[in-house]
Amino acid sequence: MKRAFDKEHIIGVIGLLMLAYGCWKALFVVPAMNHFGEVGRIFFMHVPTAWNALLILTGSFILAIGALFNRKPSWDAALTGSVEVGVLYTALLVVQGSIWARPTFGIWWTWDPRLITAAILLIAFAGVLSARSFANNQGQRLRWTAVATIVAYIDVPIVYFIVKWLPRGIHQPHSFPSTVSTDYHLALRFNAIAMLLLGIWMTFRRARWILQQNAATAMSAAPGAALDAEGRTMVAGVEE
Amino acid sequence: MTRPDEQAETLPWAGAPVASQEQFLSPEADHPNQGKPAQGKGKLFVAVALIVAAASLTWLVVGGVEQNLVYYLTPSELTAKGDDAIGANVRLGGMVAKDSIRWRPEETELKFKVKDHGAEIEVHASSIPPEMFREGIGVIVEGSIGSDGIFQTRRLMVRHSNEYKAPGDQETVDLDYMSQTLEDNGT
Repeated sequence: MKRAFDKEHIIGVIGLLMLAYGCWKALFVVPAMNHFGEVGRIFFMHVPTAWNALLILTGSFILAIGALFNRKPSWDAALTGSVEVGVLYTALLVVQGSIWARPTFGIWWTWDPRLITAAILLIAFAGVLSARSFANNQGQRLRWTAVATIVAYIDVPIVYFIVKWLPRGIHQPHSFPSTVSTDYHLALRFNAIAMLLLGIWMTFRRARWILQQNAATAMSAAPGAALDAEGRTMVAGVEE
Repeated sequence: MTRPDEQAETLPWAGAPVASQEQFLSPEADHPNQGKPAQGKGKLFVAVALIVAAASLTWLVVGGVEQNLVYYLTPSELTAKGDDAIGANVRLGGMVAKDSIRWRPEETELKFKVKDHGAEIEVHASSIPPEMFREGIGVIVEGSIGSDGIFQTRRLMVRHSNEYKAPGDQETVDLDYMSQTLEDNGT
């Protein structure tokens, strides 16, 4: 059977091309930063990663609320896909931050408010995925994932605003276009949009895979069974 | 539409095999939703994940609460504590005072002064400073102050501003702004 071309690959390809261009600019074209030197170029990945981790988890929050209302397996799949991407980006964020902190701050890790809240974010959303794996059926899985996402989301605004609320820390306050050289804006924005597109692409891919797994589980449980609107297995129209 | 089982068979990473006859006839088949394939492996993963999460949270709480909400004290605050501060493990944050750095690489001995608008404290370190370390930059040092008024540190951290400028581009955020962000505490 010929496999259909999944349209989200277009988003992925555009994302990869933009990331390649942004990184080429950031690594080879723009001048090295004052004071930071070459190591400062990690800025072009770290900042877009941070923006997109918070942005994608905000998407998860919206999907979680929607999924609680409509109870559709497809929303559950998209929600889980986006949380997985959010966890990936947050993990990258913490690792990049640590790598940048060693030569710049002089340490790998410290108990700074921003660093602590970001680490909590990673653990909280990894916990969402863990909670999900405990559920016994599709309906329960959707509920647990959505509720856990909404609870974990509390930390997202905290991570963002903590540098304002507790400015005494080692992490810098928010940077603005005025605090970043205009030479750097293009590469930074390309990478930011690229990371967003790649995040959307991966979310789609994971969502598709989760839906296929649901179907496979349903088939293994009862060949010929279908899923009802709430994702419960139905055999000949009767709910299990 | 493709039949779901056809699709599933083409996925090499789908851990659970698609319905085998044994599985279908096994007791779990009566409770399809409880009898997840690869249950044993899944349980182990969940257990490991829970242990990791619990250990990390404990580590965060213990590590984070030990220090209180104030990440560091300013030179003025530390000076104001007077004798009470002697020997206590604290973080001190401020700016590196102008013309105060004395660095003897052969002995890895670093001396400098940390100041804010009200006070100045002599700091002695015995480590190689981070590359960003220079006059006028923010620093946070961990250690304790002695009765001689000298702060001995084991850990020197640089706190830079939110400026990311190319050479030749004017630096607009001045050091006053930076020292202000050092001394503010959310007020």
